[in-house]
Amino acid sequence: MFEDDPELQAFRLRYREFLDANAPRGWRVNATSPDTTLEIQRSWLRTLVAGGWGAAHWPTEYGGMGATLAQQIVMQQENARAGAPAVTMFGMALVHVAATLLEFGTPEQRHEHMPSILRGDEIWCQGFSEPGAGSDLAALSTRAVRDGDNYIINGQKIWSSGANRADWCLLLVRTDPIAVKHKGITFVLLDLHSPGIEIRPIKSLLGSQEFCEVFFTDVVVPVSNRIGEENEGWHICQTTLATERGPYLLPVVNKLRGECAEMGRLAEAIGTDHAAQVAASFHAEVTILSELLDRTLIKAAFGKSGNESSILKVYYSELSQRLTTAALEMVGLDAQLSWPEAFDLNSDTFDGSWGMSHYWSWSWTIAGGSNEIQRNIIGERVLGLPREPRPEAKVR
Amino acid sequence: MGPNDELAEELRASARKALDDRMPTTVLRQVIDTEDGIDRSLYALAADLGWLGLTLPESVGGSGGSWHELAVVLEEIGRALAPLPMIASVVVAAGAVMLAGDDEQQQRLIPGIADGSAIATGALFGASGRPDEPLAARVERRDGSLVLSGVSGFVPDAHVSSWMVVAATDGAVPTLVVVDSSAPGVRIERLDTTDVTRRLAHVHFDDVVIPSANVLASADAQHVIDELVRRAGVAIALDSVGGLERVVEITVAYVGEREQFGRKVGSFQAVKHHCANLLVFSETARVAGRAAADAIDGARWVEWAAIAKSYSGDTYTEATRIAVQCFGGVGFTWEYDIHFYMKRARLSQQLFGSPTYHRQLLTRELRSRTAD
Repeated sequence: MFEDDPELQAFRLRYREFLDANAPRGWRVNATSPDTTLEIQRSWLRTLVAGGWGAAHWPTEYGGMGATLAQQIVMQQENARAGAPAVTMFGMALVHVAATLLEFGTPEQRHEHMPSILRGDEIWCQGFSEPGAGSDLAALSTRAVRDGDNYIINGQKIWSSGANRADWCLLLVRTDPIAVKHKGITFVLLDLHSPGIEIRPIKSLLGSQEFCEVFFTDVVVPVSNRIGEENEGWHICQTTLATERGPYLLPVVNKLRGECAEMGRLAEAIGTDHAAQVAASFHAEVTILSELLDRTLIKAAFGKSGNESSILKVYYSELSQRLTTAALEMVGLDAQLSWPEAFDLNSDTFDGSWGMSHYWSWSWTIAGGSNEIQRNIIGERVLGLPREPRPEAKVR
Repeated sequence: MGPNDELAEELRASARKALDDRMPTTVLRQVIDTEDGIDRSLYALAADLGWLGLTLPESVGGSGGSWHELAVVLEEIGRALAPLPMIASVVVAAGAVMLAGDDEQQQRLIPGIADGSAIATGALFGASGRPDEPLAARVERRDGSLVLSGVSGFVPDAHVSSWMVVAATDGAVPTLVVVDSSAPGVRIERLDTTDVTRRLAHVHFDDVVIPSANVLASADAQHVIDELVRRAGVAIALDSVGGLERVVEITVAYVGEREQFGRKVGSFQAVKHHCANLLVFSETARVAGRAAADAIDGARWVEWAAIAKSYSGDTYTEATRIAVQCFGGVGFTWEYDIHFYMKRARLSQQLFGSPTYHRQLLTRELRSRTAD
């Protein structure tokens, strides 16, 4: 889609010119550790913002571009074409935090955080899941007790991506332990440099330290850091989570396109009909995924999206697993070798490691609402099938 | 939604109403038991509603519309399982004459297709009916006239056709000729298909004399045949999109009513997730089919046509497997409608080239792009 619009074409060329002049070359060689990768991304974010190409989807009054959806899609395509660094480590801040603040934050909260995010000075993580609240997120039990102008927080979060490098956290806490579980949750912004916080990275199956456990002992959060009203957090976090299934998916699809192109080259090298068939079938599916995403985003822009985004999630995550499984066989034992740790942090582009792409893809069917939960959503909210009998138990 | 979409949605509403009224599956069950297996009065209505001439030029009795609109009609036909020879007559036969015929041939043959007074088909392949196997019909010049002999296999709707476009070899190269279905030497051997909503026939040619006016003037008949395979493939894909949509609806309705263990079976995750998978298939196939219809004649037409045909064939087939499973025992009966979709899916998957064949075309297209 969008290929024939002359205005868009002019926009594309302007951005391409910017990338040609400014995108760092050979940065992958220097991305040898999470820390160096972070600095490469930070520097690139600042270059983008200085050039007027930062935070494409943010409104202009907060320093964004106010870009249309089509323009965002074009920019993603050009990023992939130029091999520009991703800004994945700022993704939570640029996407989830901004969406949440713009819809539910106070003007003070926006002005405190959005400019620093644009400067690359704030890295954010998400503190939603808990050991006892994964798919059943509303069962979360990290407690926040009001004490004058503060909340005192005790409990534990898990699967907080990048918490070990983050400055701030989007946190869900329980403020009413008596109410039906999703009615006693509050959404707060937590300064991770506060006393009483312990962050322990979890070594993932990739070998990297991407996810973290976060422990809270009498952590003080000012009430002014609350988003929305007390006990309204469940509703607000749906907005935060929904961003994961919107334009946020554009780079994911670009990565799949890159993988698909590489698979095409592998199939040519192998030269058998079977390999050609496999590559063609994945080319077909990735092309369909890309079209489905564009059409879903356009519908969303016209206010007609909804739980259909679950269809996208189920499809892209499993397609990625199927595609990389097939690629592992095409590549052979080379794909069984490990890859530099820093690759994990640039998951927007295909880095040449099928192993990493393959194992990463399991995070996609589990994180952000497992595919089993997504299929329940499709069955119940899209198709209208009856719910499974579910006891609405209180938390304790 | 642009004005284009509004027009398409109006067309969809009217097509859905016409087919709901005239071809509910209770009527379909009567039609499939008739000798010809098509509903001629519904075909006449299709002509009145402008479906047949939708993409044909105004100069030959059509309305000069786009595939964006034809797609809607084809989806609705697939949804209703309507036994209408539209793909054979409009997409293939009229398509061949529009692509390869001269002005006289177009003026003579197309208005009858557009107004429904004639039904035509295309006999484009060899005895196996597969586009990747050699033609088994040939033309020779004998005593100053052109004579057709041999066979074309698995020709859709040949039994109700008044003429057909036949692909035959002329020496080493293919050619396209128009053959009167009732001409001496033409024998139409009707076949019993498992998909009772469509009819196929082997067509045998025994020294059929072809008037020179019936040779379609085209420099490169193979290009025309390839294009007809793409168009028929996309038409089948759109038929499948409509079928998939209906399969999701009737399966969800059934599992939302059927009770076991004191619960609707659709409340069980195992069944609910089957239904979610059906919707994923349906939505992705729809995107492929519509993107292909919108891509016609554009830079990505060849790519999208191959994607739509291969993907819809595989997903419709797999979705109907799952759907029958969701229906359980009654899914295995003739009484419930789901088996009609299951069989239409399987014939659709193979007709006008299998998914494997279309993926070969896709590979060739991508390769030629890399070479550019």
